[in-house]
Amino acid sequence: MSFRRVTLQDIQAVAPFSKTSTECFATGLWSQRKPSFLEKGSPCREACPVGNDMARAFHLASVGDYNGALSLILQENPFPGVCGRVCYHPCERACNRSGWDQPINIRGLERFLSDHGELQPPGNPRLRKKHLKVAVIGAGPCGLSAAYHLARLGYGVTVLETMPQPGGMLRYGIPGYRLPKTVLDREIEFIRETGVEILCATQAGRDISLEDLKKDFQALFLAVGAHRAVGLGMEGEGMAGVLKGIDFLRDLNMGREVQLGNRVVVVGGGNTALDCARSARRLGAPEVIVLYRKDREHMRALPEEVESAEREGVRILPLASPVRILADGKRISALECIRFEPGPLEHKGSPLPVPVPDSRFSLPLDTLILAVGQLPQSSFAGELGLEVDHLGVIQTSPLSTATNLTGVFAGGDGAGAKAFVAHAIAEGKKGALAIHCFLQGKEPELELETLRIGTGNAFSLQPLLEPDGPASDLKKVVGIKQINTLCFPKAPRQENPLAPNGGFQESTAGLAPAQIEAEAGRCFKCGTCTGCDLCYLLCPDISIVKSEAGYRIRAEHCKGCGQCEATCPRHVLEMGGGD
Amino acid sequence: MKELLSGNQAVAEAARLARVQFVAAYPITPQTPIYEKLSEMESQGKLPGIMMRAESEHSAMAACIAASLTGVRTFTATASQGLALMHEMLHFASGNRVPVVMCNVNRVLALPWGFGSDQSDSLSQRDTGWIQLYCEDAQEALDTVIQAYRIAEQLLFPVMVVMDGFYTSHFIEPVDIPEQEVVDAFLPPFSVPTRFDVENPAYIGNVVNPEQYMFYRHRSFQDMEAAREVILEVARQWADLLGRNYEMVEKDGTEDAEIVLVTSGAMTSTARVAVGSLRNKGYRVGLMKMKLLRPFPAQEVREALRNVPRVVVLDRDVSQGLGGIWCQEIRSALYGLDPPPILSNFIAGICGADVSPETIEQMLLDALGLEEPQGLPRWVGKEIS
Amino acid sequence: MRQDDRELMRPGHMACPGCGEASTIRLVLKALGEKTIVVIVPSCVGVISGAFPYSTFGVPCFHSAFEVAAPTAAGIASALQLQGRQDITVLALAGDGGTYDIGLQSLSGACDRNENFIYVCLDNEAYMNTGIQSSSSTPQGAWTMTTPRGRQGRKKRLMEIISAHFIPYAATVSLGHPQDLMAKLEKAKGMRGTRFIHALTPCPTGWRMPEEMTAKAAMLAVETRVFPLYEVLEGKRYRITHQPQGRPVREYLEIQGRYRHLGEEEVASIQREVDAQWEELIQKSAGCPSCARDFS
Repeated sequence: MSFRRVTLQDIQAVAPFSKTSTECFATGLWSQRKPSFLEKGSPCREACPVGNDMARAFHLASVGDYNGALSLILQENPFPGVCGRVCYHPCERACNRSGWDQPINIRGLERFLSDHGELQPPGNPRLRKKHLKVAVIGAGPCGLSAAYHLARLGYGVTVLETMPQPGGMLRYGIPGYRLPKTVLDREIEFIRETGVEILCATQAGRDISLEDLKKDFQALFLAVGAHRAVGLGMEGEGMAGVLKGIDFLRDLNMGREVQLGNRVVVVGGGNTALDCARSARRLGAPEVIVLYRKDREHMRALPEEVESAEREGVRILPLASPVRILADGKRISALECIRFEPGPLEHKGSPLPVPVPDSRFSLPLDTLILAVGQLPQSSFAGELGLEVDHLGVIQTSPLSTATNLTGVFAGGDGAGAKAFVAHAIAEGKKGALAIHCFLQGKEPELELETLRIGTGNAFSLQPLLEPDGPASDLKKVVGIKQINTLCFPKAPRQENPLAPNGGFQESTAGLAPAQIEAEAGRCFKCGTCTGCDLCYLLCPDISIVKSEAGYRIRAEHCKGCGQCEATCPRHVLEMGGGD
Repeated sequence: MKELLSGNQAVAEAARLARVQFVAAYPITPQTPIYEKLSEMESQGKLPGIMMRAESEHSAMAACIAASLTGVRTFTATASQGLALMHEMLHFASGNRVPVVMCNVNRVLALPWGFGSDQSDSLSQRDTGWIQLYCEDAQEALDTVIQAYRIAEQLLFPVMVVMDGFYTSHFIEPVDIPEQEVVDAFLPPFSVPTRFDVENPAYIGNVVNPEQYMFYRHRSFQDMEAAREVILEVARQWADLLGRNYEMVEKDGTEDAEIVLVTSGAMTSTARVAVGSLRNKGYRVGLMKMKLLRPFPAQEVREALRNVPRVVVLDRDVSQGLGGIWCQEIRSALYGLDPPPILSNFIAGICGADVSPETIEQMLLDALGLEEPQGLPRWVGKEIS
Repeated sequence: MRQDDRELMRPGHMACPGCGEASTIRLVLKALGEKTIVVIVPSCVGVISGAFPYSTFGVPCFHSAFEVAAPTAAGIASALQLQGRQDITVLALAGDGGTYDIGLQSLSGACDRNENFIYVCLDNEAYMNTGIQSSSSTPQGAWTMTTPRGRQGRKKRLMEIISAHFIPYAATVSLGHPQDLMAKLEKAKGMRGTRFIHALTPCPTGWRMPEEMTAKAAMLAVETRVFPLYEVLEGKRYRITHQPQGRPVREYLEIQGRYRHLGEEEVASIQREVDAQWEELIQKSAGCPSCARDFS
């Protein structure tokens, strides 16, 4: 008997060897429930008047794609540098992170991107160039926003601006320490590059006749702003030493000489009032007081503006209001004021100020600046035959910005928008959409509803302009309960560093790249898939396939456990089907 | 070259000569000297490979099985409680068809505690699927361990080499240690392929369904049935090389015997004296030494005892409630012989209790007087003095 | 191939939906790669790994006896060493029963000898494969079929036992932190000797919770400090690898039906215990906690 070597085949014949893959078992049949990837909106985007997709921008920034992130913002807003500095950032109030530790410095990212990214027209407009032309009256944020989006939608756009330079309130209303002119110039240049013609020092109705406008343009968008300062109606408001806030800022911004006394009192609680006060300090006024009717928390100015003002030596005097101007000859010498106390709540939730009896006091001063509101100034609306209210505000349909005249649309401060820059830009965008619908024979209300983000006022032009771009369900907005906060350690918010210079150079610095990295790490990126791999790695059934194009569900093996949905840090995955 | 060696030392020498690559062991009386001797060899560089000082016999066997599956030659040794602790893994070894070789040194199982020999420890593992080979002396133990590797690696069955505690394990006898070249010529290097090929991965030992289980069990049964031929051939080749022949069933004067004594292990040597003495007195006494327990050499037993009127089975073991274990095996092998021999069973020497040639002589004489089979075994040397 | 992309576990296996063990094994294999031999012992893995002639793993695998994951792995590793195949990693997978209870002796022996393999304890805190019976890993108060009024004993501190053997590497991992898990396995792979990984693998069936909660439960265990993520080098140097949020233990307990019967005082007592053990871990790690953010 000869002995032979034992082979693997010999072994396999006598002991079980298993080599067949279990892949042949369709465990996917165990459940009808399957996940799907669906990107969604973020609360910051829903709250943003212009609908900036900041969650995705943070994602792109986190991988160092600043240009991509900036292009994303430019889909919705041509003014990232402006908004990154002066926006009242309702996004941050809505931020899901505020229910966790502190909101993300979203505005800080927008500014960072405008400083570090390249302004490139976002994508190639998919809509073919049209031979239709639109005229925009007013080159402020509203008008330029409308022009920008109309140009992207394929229309020929001409903007007529009365002032020598474009920018409106951005140029003539906001001091340079808050918004450097170079930033504004850069973004207006970008709007021009998008295909917008801007004619300055050109007044519609005077330099170009109404007939010519009607002949040359198929639609008209009025964004005339509100440059007429209102007063309080006190006797003596016209005397020397009494200034109107918006006029003061305009003079300052145009480089004109402005005379201020040693004691300056600013009346008002909005950003204009604070701009006046802080500018006054910069011009050398030793004592600057801001007088405001309500209590501090209800000042309309941004809290950080109020804090900065105080840090710079401005005194805030809340719950007080002027009643009479006291003069020394032809010049103001003091202001008689009355104190208020918080009374019953108004419908907006802030307490109605109630005068305190026998609380009059006198405030000696050299200069009084009234910053209590602005109204439209244009006579053009009337000449066109537009319906305006008693204050001169153009009456429009809130959904479509349409006026009583066919083909004429209006937006911005001149049409009664909220006074924030972001609202002006949003109005312009809405006007662009409305005009597009008008020219294409579409229903603007329907179109707006399709493009609306969540249930807010903002909408996105992205699906229209870049249908192949990142697709997310605009209607679904991810709330804090849908965020898997277990994935996010608490971490302090990164603030923009102060850059005190005593003059009109910018008073805050941009976030440093390391700070952006930190904020990008903090940001939940609600509803945006970041490719974090958690779903892919956790799937016990190896049913999420990863590829260059992203993730894909392999339904034949997915048992529908739903872990991917439950653990997705940002609620991109959603279970569907089954019970 | 002959040296004076104990059975334990002889087994250690055999493992060395077999070029075992992996040893895992745990100390237990009376096996300990094997473990110590191997350790000494290792420390002297005479035993290249890996020696695992396991924390239990159970783990030692688990490690041997695993190493064997991975494609190396393995060895372990144990006794009594250690073997009992291994019991679960013995099934794993045979079920996996791994050629692990183990030496078991017989010792009583507690309780009561004791140290002397009792083959019950290994006999009670007869259904674990191992080939079991019982040895009479140190020389046979050495020779059998080397043969066991040939058998195991050819058949893919684990093999247990068994010797009696103290009598064989500790008694010093002259033992011929073969030259390494001779052993190498007999036993080629381990060549069973690894079951764990990372380039061609397979899962070993997973769950099967009842039909599959039956299939593999039956396959093992068939292979075990065919094993006798291989065991025989291996013994023949060893005999050709070294002149020492060990048969599965060694028969001495059984052909015309009026009585045949069946023994196994160390008591066989004592029995040889008793049988010689009785032959001198004129009795036709045969001796049959059982080396192989599994696969059981039923056919050889049957042939050897056909026409033998009386058979005495001497057991150093017991299956409570029935009798000596060897006796049961013999009895069932004889089933159907007509006329059947008058079979008697003596249980003696448990826990190493002394069984003298005279005692055995007396057993045989007593059996010669029997005219019909006895129902119960007779216990010899059970009295407490 | 990058560890993230390679897949050595195949779909179509028979694990319950949402199985924490399946996810964990998959990640472990991803980290260790093709040159791995897996030893498993009776546990749910015996089911997950596939029945003849199927195999869930794309690497060689051996199903050994319950109490011998470690010596089985040691035997294979020894053979590989003899064959000069130290490029192959031997991985032992055992459940908490196979590790804390029946396999502890053999694991201790292997650790003591510093046998060359990676041992992953898949701890789902009870005998789940046999239908939820308590083990010495079952936490105090937890319901099982054999502790219908909640377990009296406290969960054995396995990492302390293992560390006491001075093995080169021991670490806790959670499937809720897959990057940390894979990094630790990769680190372990680069070492020699006994490397022990303690993985908490929540079991929706046995923990009486919905099947989508597995990974979340794993994350909560970490963030509540019930199961902190750390590593121990040479049995002495402790390093916390993830700074937990320190959420109240209640958040972890309340998602699991097995703790449903606990009262306020019992929850408070568990919280105190967790706090004390965390404090102890901080002391041992002597000021080197580092935290990595995985999913920003």
